[in-house]
Amino acid sequence: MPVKKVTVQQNRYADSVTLMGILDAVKKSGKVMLAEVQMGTPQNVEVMRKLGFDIPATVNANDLVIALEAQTNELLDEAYKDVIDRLDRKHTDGEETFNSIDEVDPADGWNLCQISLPGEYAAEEAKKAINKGLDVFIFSDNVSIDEELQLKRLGDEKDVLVMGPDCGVGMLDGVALATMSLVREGPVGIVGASGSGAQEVACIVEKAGSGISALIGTGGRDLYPQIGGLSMIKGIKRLCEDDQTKVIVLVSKLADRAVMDKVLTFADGVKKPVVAIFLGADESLFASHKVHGTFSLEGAALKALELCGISCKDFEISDEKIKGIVDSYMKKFSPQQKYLRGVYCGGTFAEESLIYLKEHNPDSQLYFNMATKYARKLDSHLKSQCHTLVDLGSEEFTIDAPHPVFDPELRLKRFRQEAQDPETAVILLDFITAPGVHEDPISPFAKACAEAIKARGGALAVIASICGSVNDPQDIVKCGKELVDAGVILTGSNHQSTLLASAFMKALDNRK
Amino acid sequence: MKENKCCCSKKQKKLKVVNIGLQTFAESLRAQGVTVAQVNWRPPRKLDSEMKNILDDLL
Repeated sequence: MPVKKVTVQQNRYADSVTLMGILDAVKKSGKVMLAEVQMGTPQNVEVMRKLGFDIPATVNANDLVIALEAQTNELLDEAYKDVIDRLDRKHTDGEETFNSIDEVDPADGWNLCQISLPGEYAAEEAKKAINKGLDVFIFSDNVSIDEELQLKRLGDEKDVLVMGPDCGVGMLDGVALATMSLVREGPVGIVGASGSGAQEVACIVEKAGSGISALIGTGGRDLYPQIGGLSMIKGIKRLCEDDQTKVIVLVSKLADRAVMDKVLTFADGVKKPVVAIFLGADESLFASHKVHGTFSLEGAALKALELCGISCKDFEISDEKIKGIVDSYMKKFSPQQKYLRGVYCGGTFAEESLIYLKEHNPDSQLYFNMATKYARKLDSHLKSQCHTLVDLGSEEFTIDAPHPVFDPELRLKRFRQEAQDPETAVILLDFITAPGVHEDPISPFAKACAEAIKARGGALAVIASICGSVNDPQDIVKCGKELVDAGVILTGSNHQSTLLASAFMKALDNRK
Repeated sequence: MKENKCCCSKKQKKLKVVNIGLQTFAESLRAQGVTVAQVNWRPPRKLDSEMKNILDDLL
């Protein structure tokens, strides 16, 4: 008869990725029939109880719960020992460890603290690290804006960088942090309040033949009125002091006007050239400033390279090339194929495309899954209407599924749905590669694209760009070849994909 | 720039990282040749309300 064992380790924390790895190994060992190793959150406790485990009522979210079921007591004991060994081994592989940040001595050379705890605990640890004079990189979200302000003020006082909260990418000393691509080194320094936007600028700089000196992320709320761009200004100062940085690029979504002006005014005063991209801003923002205002992520990257004396005219997509592609596909489309569908994993990329498409196709019926001034909101995020872009990384999609950069399955399903819609003529895709994202985000799409294009007899245009580095483990050269072999139109950037999509929209609307 | 500050040239190559949270981030840094120390972080104990009241009175 099967036997069950539940052990609660009070006040012990292990992150979800580590626990998934342990659970996977224990299940594969064949010793257990059922296994759960989870923090004792109400949701996890409910799942374990549904599996028939008797979880004590006193368990709380700070406790680690090990729940196992096996055929015999011997197997149960072996599996339990295995779990404990794996939990303990994580910290005993010969690497230096600390029991708390209090034990860290900056005199030993420690200079950066990377924090990815649950949000409710992140600010407290960040505060301790800042007080020790360490730069901090806070991946955690769900940190209140009041706490963010306190941390950033403290960072200013202690002369350290506060990157985040909710900071996904960074590169310091040539080292990629969190989910950053392994972009090679060069003269362009980036300060970004939009993680994927900053990453796209960095990757375009590399694709165009150069590299970056640093990418300092600020977290998405840094240009909110409450924060006032404290980290962006600090980041500019740090890059000014860095010998390798020849040009500074500022990257953000459209933010509070007064804060953007404040940041640009500060940038006006620095000796190095500064390029700015505030997605959705118009020329009036830059009229009274010295910085080089740009209006696409690609535009920002290429302007920075131009200021470094690096020519990259060949990188851009020409009007002739766009016309040639559009003309060739328009001949193939049936009268029923009328619409563009964008199926995104990067929110910033979706926004960059929406801004351009709205500006250049003001009379088109353009829809998006969220409320925005650039498009109408879809009746249901699950079904496209007319020309539609959807961001599969937004909350309505990720509430019960992993973000598409970590698990492409949901986006793949939506791609197939759009490809099978008889009204779809063009599908727009973005891809992100980096050490921290899905190990093979592109191959499943290449296969699906090949099948979809074949099913339509070639009368389906799929446009894609890859935000990534040649040094990323996914190998963007190989990934790009897979897409091209599948019949996909591969562009050099999301902006290029958008230019092409916009031309398709015009041609499709004019044909109606 | 302060002595110990990271950023940005690889020539200096002196990033030393304390990681609190996701082990995968520490592993990614080690793969890039960076010295990383993991903090064996535990959530702070939550005081029960009776103890909290006593402490509040004392303080």
